[in-house]
Amino acid sequence: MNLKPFCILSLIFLPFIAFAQAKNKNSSRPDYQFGDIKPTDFHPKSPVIDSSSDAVVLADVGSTDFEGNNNGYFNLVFKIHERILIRNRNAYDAATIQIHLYSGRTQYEDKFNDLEAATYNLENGQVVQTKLDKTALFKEKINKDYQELKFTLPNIKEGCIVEYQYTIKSPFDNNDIRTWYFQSKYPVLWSEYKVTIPPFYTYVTIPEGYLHFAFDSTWSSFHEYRILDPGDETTSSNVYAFSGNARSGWWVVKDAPPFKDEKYMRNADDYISKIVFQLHSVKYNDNDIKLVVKDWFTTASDLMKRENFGQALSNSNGWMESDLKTITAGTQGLEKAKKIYEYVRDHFDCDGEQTKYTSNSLKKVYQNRKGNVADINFMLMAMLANQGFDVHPVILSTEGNGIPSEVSAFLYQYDYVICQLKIGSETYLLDATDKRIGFGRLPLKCYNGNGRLIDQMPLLLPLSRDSLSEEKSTLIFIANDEKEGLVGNVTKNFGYFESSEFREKHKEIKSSELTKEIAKEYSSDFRISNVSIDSAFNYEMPVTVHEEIHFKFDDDIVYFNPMLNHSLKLNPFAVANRIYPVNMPYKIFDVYLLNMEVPKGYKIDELPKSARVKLNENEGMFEYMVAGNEKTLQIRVKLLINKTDFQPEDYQTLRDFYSYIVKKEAEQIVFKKIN
Amino acid sequence: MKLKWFFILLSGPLFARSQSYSVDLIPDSMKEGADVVKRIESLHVIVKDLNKVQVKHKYAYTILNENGKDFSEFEMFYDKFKSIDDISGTIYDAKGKVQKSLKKKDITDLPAYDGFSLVSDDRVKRFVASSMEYPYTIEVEVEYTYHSTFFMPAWDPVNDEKLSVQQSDFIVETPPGFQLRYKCYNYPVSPQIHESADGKTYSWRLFNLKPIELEDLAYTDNIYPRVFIAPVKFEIDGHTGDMSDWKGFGKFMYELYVGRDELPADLKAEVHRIADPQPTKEEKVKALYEFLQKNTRYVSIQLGIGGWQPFEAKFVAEKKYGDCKALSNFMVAMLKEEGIPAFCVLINGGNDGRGLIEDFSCHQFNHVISCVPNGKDTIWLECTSQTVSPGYMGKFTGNRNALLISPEGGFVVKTPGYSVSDNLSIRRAEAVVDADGNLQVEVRTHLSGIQQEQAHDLLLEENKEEREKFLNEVLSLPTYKVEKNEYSEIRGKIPAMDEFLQISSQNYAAVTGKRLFITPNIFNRHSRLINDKPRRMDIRLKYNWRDVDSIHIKIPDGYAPESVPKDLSLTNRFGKYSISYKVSGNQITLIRTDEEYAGKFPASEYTQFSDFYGAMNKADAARIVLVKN
Repeated sequence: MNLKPFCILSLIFLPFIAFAQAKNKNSSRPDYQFGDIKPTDFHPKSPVIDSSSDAVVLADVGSTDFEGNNNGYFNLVFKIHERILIRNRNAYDAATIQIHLYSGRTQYEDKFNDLEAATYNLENGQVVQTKLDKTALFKEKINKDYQELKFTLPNIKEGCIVEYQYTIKSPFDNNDIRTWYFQSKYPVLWSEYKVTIPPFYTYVTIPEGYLHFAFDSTWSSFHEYRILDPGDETTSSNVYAFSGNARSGWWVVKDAPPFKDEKYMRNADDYISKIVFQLHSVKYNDNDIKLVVKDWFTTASDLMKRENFGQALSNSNGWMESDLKTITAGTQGLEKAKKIYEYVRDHFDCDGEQTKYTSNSLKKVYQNRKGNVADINFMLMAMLANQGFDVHPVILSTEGNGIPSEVSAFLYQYDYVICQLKIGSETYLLDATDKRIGFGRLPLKCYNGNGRLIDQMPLLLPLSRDSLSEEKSTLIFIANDEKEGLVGNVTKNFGYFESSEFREKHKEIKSSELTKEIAKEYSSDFRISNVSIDSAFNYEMPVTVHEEIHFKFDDDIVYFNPMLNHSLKLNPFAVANRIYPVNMPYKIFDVYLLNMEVPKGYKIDELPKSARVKLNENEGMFEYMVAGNEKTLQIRVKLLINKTDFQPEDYQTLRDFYSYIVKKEAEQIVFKKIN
Repeated sequence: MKLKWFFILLSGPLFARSQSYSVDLIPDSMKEGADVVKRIESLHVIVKDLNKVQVKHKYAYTILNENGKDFSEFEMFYDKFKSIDDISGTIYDAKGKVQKSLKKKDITDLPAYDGFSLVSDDRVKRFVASSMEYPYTIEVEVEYTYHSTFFMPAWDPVNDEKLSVQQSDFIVETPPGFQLRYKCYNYPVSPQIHESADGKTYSWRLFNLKPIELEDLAYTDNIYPRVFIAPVKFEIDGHTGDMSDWKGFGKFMYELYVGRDELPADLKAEVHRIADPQPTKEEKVKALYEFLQKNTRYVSIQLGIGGWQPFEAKFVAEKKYGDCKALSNFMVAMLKEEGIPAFCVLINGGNDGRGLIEDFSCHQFNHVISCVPNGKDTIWLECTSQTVSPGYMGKFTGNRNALLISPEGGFVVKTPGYSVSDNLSIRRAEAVVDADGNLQVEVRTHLSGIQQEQAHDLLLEENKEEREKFLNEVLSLPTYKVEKNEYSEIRGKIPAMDEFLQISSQNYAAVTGKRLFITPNIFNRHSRLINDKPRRMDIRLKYNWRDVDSIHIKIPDGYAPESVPKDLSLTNRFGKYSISYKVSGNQITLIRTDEEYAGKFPASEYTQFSDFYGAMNKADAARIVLVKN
């Protein structure tokens, strides 16, 4: 199986294939009637069922249709019918169903209808049905926009089948045809989605993941839509009828294996088979075509006009000028930009909500001193712009949110906005929402494929992990000491991202606690003292930790690991098999250097051998160099990983490479006492 | 109105004195070791009548640095029996100047997810009042009402280890004729009691408490000051009771269960069909318990009094699910049908092993189990698990006091604890190390009691794939693979598991030139403790256990030992440990036994204790060095 790290993005513009004749779509479609459960359904056969399948989704059938409503517009009618075989108690959770319904603005409330649910048990060869008691349906408001409906099915036993179906009607609010997932944590034997769209709307369908459709067809058919305009005090109500060729699509995946998350996987969601819908254009008549998905030029210019996006930058925001004067007093150019950046980063609190759209006016954000990601980064941009700097927003998709298309302007794919600052010929990318990130640095999560500059020239901005290198070095000098035996000076220069983690962990650095923590990393034969830290709070620089170690040789033969506590003890790729590609967080450049005086009264008896191994020619390298004489000994260990994404077929190589490192770094130097 | 005026009179001068929240007013000694300083606190409880308890809680925290940020968050749960009447909050800067006052829209109101209930009526109000400039102070005033005397707030003035307290007051006003009970921990004197025609007022007060940092394995009950209060007579949702002793509390709880044990006729017949043929009481209980396990599942529904009163047995019979109360009540009903007396038992479930406070009866439970009296050998049943052996309690409910509820009222009972010989891990490993240091090992481990809980869950609560995934990540071996795993369950009052693992590990032994370095203790390394400061707190060890490991490793031909670790044997109040290494021919043999005891030990023994751990940790990691001839 060859999986690309990027999903295979295929576009189907429904209107262009409006005349394509549908396959006889019902020919091999099993008939799923609610309640029609046969004894054979309890023992399904499929290549994707194995002894680890706690449950099997026998059928997951969904559809979305449009219908005219009584408010002068359309409803989206979403229907779902699901049938699950619960093979053992580990899957009892599947008998509890939770449904989220929109309940924010009254005119757009979701309406839940037609619930049927039942449990089936096979008793003496007979299928026995137990229906859900509708009083066992619970409704709960979970926040200001959503409520949750919950029910749990009765009479659940190992080997039972649960089945439910319901309808949700939602007033149409542009582009909310639900995404359909063909995969779940259980094997799915039959998953289908059918969508019928009135002639006014054109959708782009975006299938994702790597499973193939068993059926995939589109066709058009004559539909009539009746809409009641209720009128108001001055106009009477009216019924309008529209008719024309509605377009339908039908997608089926058979025998979908369960989806499983693995470590080192950045965008798990990209690998799940699903189909996403994006409204492309609206056409009420031939003279009135409104494009929803546009080219990047138009999209960028529309964004800049949006109240919750570019508006913040549309005027000079004179009200902030006097405060900014105080903040930036005596500075100019780059120094001034840094002052403003640090001011926003340190004085505004990010509530953690990742979005590209602001939630409040700039003034409000300024008053509250907090906001979402967009609120804070637009505050930064507005302040920089106010002081005459050249800034533009950059939208991007963070880790876990999927990799955005390099071509099409699908705004839904972006969940974050940062600031691009230009000073002379230099360009900086700034994010003021993370308290421990320095000027010109971005949090790791922002590196996820690419971003898009929102400017007159909306350029693609590569933000690949391959552009990140975590550079780390450890330097150790060990010398004989009159009183103590051996004393070592350790200097650890962390990589930038390791520094961020260190800073996050040690918000207030207390040297006694740090010493205790470092002491735990060494064996009890070592005493630790004089721990100090450089650039703990200079966020533009990585952290450096200094420590002093004290130890002694006593025995006639001493076995000494020159890696001290820096050896890699466990292989990070513990699991033997891999289904999906490996995504490493960054490239690695790691050097370890030890210079040591041969302890007084000892001589070197045996040294590990120097060695160098390569990972797939030039994708990585591990080097272990050692040299010693009567007086001194030196060892240099270097690890390079030159790329971040590895295909599943490279997994074994990668695992073996790390296995070799673990082995080599466990080797010992043997010292013998001189008689 | 009169009471309100009284409140102001009482608290007025008190707050007037400390009204300024300027950080300069905090003595340096109170900042040392603290992330947060509690400037003032007044927890004022006014018992109006049996159905109404008003609480006015005012406090101010100065947050000194980012580690104390969580104290800017306010969170309060409420439900049918508790309403929140008013919340206000103000942020002050370091100089004590008001920075911001909390607005209504800053407060969110959400359902409170406990993480396991299908549905409950618990909700939570929440806000965050933080500032970006440290230090800052937040002041919160909240008023809430309990519509019952079943619940009463507790005073917990030192609510974090990095917190110092400048002043905290606890005031409880009760109407005439109301009897208040209280229980103080680490509060050296009696409360002040003031009596008037309007009733009694009790007050407790603390000044200038420096932070008390917790230590590993500490026992907190004798460290922090804390006061619990409870009524004698109380009312909840129309039910009344007397909780002055456990008997009375239990009687009240029992009445909520009474008459809810009716079973449908077909189930009655089923009970007899299952249990009648069984020869003994134990066998009957076991058969019915296994029927319960096979035919029900745990679903939590907590609404109103339903938080304390079980669903009827009929409901469970029909729906085949219920929560801990409902399932325990259902089990007791089935046993009753079979003519076996059994009871529901209220308990505090959790791995911290906390039992009820024996001399202070009030609501302090989060779980219900059932028990069957059987001479000296009471049978305890966890009714929410579909897999656990009948009679086994384990870490979650074992070894603690709980309340059995019966028609005669409540009785304090103790659930079974587990001894050294109950909690075993007996391991035998046969291994081969080759000249490249690769290890092949077959290991058979017999686990029992609390030591089998993980293996039990692994076999019965996880599927094969999850089991393999877990096993391939959990062991501390370099690049390894669990080639084969087999488990078998041995059910019983002290349940056991037999585990068989076949493992290969690349480069388990390090090879340098002509030498081979092998750590023979492959599976069982003891942890160590850092002993860098004088110990202040007593040591509490929760479990007894015994491990016996015998490891046999075949080494490649042509190697002779250069260095073999010394044998070690230690015996003290904490346990007994021995380890021995032998190399003969091409065979290494390691025998290790480690036995440790539960108990409380004085702080003065900590050095001895950490030395014990340190010696075991070192001996366990020892290497044998072999040289090629």
